[in-house]
Amino acid sequence: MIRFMATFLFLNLFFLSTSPAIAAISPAGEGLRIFFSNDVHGETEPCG
Amino acid sequence: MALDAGALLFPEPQFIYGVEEQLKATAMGVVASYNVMNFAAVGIAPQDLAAGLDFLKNMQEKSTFPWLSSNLVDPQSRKPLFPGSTTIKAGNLVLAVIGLTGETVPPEILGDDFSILPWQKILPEMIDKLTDQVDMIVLLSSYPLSENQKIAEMFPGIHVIIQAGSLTTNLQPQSAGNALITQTERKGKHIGLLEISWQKSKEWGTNPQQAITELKNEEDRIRWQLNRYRKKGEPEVVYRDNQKILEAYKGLLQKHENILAEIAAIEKKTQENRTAGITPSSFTAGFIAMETSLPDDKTVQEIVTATNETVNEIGKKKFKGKAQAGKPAEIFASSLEDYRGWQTCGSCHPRETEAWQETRHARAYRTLEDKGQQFNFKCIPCHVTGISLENSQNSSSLPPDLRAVGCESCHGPGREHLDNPEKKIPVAPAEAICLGCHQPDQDDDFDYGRDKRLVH
Repeated sequence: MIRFMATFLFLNLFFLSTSPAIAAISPAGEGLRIFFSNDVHGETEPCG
Repeated sequence: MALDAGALLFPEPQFIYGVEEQLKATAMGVVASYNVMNFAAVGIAPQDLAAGLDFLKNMQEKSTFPWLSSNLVDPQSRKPLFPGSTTIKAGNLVLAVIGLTGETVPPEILGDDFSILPWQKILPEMIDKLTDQVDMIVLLSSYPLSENQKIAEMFPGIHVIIQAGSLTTNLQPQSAGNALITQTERKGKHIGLLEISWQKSKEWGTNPQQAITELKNEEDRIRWQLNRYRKKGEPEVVYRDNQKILEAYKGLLQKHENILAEIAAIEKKTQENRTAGITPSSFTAGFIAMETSLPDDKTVQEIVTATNETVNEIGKKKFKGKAQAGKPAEIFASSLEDYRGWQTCGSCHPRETEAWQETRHARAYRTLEDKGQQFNFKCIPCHVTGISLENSQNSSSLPPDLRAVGCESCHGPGREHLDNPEKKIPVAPAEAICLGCHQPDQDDDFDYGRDKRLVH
């Protein structure tokens, strides 16, 4: 979870910064980017 | 946008082994992190209710995102206890995100201050109401795949279903009804990404040219087989005395006609869509592995560090008793009476013990202390000797020569061997013993054949 949460925010910011690229995906339609997850529940990185 | 389908707070619907307080602290850290990460909505799975309804309501108050469940209701009034859906504007699109809590856990395990209604009682009216109001409907569901497939078949107004559960692999988007169903593997190992080109048709399309090509290949193959039957003349005449061959020929004829009809239907539909300006929606999907090489975010890392410290403090307050070397505290007496400690082993096996002291097993408890996790009950059993998750909260009372992954962690308790040295104990532990702790989640590079040579 620790690694997931920390790196996910990096990815989140990265993709948000490239969001103009979404429009290029489908000029005739609406572009949408969905990140999704499940079963995170605070699993930590290795204990030791 | 970021969505989580559920099982965000806890791994199981019921707490075990007395780690409740630590798990709750971790759950609060998760919520704080998700706030920073701007999640748009989170579905409620049965696991999220492990600490009770009041705790989840408390988490809702601390969250900047909505917790969604359309079928988690008050048992008396039957009214939803949380928002059933939320509407999100994404560019020019308006999406409805619906939460659906699975009924997979027996009611007696969950609380008695709520009920989970079957989806059949909730979804029809909800979907009917939302379909004309929004461009796309996304369902966050903790039902199993088979139920989500039924839901997708019944409601063409649902376009994406994101599942919650504990899969061992990622579920690539698969079609059912007019929906894509997908899920990331367990424990947050991956993030899923759907990039969608959403058209006014509100329908997912397949590539018609690809479908036609595949059907034409099949049609070619069948035509070749039909020509073989026709080689000696008209099959109805040639094989009039062999009904079995004649029936096989007629079956192939029918199959050929069906394929030609299917090709014609696809071509007709494609032309109609082209004429009407209708374009089907499309998507690409991927799963991003949360590898350790990815950088951390400073704000989230601070939350994680603070959460770990809190978890450790909680464990520290549960510390019970003290012990001297070689003498377990009384609270342990019954559970540790068969263990003797590595120093006792060393009196007869000095060479092995000396080699072991240079290994990571000997430092296992110290690595927890270095990370400030020596009171994290989930970590302790694999860093000491003779402790399981059931009594890990008492581990700080362990004598020093059991505060490591000692000889008896791998070779078993030493009491019988000490009482009767002729009674041998396993020299090389089976791989299953090592894998009890060296699981992929904790050690993704473990190789039994290679690593057993490192022990001593």
